[in-house]
Amino acid sequence: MKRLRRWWKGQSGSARLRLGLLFILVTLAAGFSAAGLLNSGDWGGFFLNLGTELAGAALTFVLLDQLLANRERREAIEEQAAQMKTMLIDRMASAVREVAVPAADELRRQNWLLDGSMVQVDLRRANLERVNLANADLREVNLYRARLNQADLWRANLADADLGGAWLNSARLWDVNLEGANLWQARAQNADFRRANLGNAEVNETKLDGADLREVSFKGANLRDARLIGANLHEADLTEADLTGANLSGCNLREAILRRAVLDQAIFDADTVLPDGKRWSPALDLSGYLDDE
Amino acid sequence: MRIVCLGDSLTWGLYGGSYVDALARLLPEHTLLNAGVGGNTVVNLLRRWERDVLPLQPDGVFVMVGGNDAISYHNPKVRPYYAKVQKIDGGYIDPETFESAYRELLTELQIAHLVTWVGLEPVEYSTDVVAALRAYNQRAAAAARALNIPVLDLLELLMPPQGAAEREPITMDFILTIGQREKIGWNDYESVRQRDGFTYTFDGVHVTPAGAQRMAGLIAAFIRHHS
Repeated sequence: MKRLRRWWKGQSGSARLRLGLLFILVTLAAGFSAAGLLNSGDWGGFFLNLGTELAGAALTFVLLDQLLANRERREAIEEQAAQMKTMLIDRMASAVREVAVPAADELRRQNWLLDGSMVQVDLRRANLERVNLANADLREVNLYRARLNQADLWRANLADADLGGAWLNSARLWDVNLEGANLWQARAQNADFRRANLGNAEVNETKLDGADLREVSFKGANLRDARLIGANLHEADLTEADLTGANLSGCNLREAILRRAVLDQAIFDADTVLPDGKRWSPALDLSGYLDDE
Repeated sequence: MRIVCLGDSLTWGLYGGSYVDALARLLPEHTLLNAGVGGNTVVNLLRRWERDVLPLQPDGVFVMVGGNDAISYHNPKVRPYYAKVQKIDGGYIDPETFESAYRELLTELQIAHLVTWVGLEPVEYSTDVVAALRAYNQRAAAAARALNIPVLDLLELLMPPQGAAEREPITMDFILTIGQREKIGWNDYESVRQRDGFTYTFDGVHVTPAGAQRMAGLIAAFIRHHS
């Protein structure tokens, strides 16, 4: 009895109300059913019917109660998950790497890096060096001046993201989507951008020295004053790209597409390899590379 | 012990020398973690300590902040930076706000059961900036002592015997130069220090690698003494 009393005290107010109601329904159902069985005639039939109706009501009550309890439990779990997600995203924006990277790892474990939860998130100045953001959906994310040196961004979707002034040195950016992204003054020396899409991206004044830019699409991109010293642009698509003032010394442009690209004041040297495999020289006319055909 | 160093660019250490790295070498029995962010004031630390310190599960925190607070108040020309980048209302931290925010930060750290040490920030830019920071440091020390938190006065310990020189006030150019130098990976600290006549800093505010080493030596002895 003591145990029962302790259990009853442990129940919340609403649970006690529900249990009380159920108890009354079951007691009445049993009472009326018993009265129906003990009485003959019209009153006996009436009590029996009332008893079975009340038993049905009790059963319905139990079923509805279970459904409501399940929904409440689900909502509580969802709320907890939402709070956890908010907290992890906040931590991922930390300038302290030991805070930001574990938060990103946990977001990955919860699948929140991939399910669109990160779209438009503010990660300005976050220290995410060596983080694993492969396949992450980071569309329109603000990574202004974030530290992403040696980060793994393989196949990440960074369309329209702001990476202005970000550090991306030696980062792995294979197949990454940077369509329309802002990389103004970003530092991506020795970064690996193979097959990345940088169409219409702002890559002006970006440092890409030694970067692997093979098969990268720079269609319509702004590469004004970009530093591409020693970069590998083999088979890169630079159609309509603006390379005004870009430094292409030592660059490998073999089989790159330069159709309608702007090369005004671009800097070349004798180590620059042109699309047809020739080395650049001051006497060389580059206009042939820029023609439509 | 796991010790978090919480502060501004002096703690961050990527513009000049890093006392946190040097401290880690001097205190191998402890794990040192760097939670410094360039340009931060005490209000910024108060805003971010729960996010940037608590997840690291430290046993202790070494707090050093105040330089930006004093500079923002005494050099109105730099206020746009603190307003825009550091999100400080009006772009400055007045002495009263500094002291109350400092007290609140230290109280929060104590409530979180973290062993706390306070370092009073050093500077040698000019007589005016030294005087301004000294006044802020006195307030920080008062806040710390009220909570029985040990205080290390790095401003006085590192001050050259001849004191600071007279110089023009700090302007936005000073702050913009930091950003530009960071961008190009500039690190010619020693020649700039010699040219401009500083001792343990290269620009009057940020420490050289040798200055960071000196600072770390003082902080290591202080932490050992108080732990």
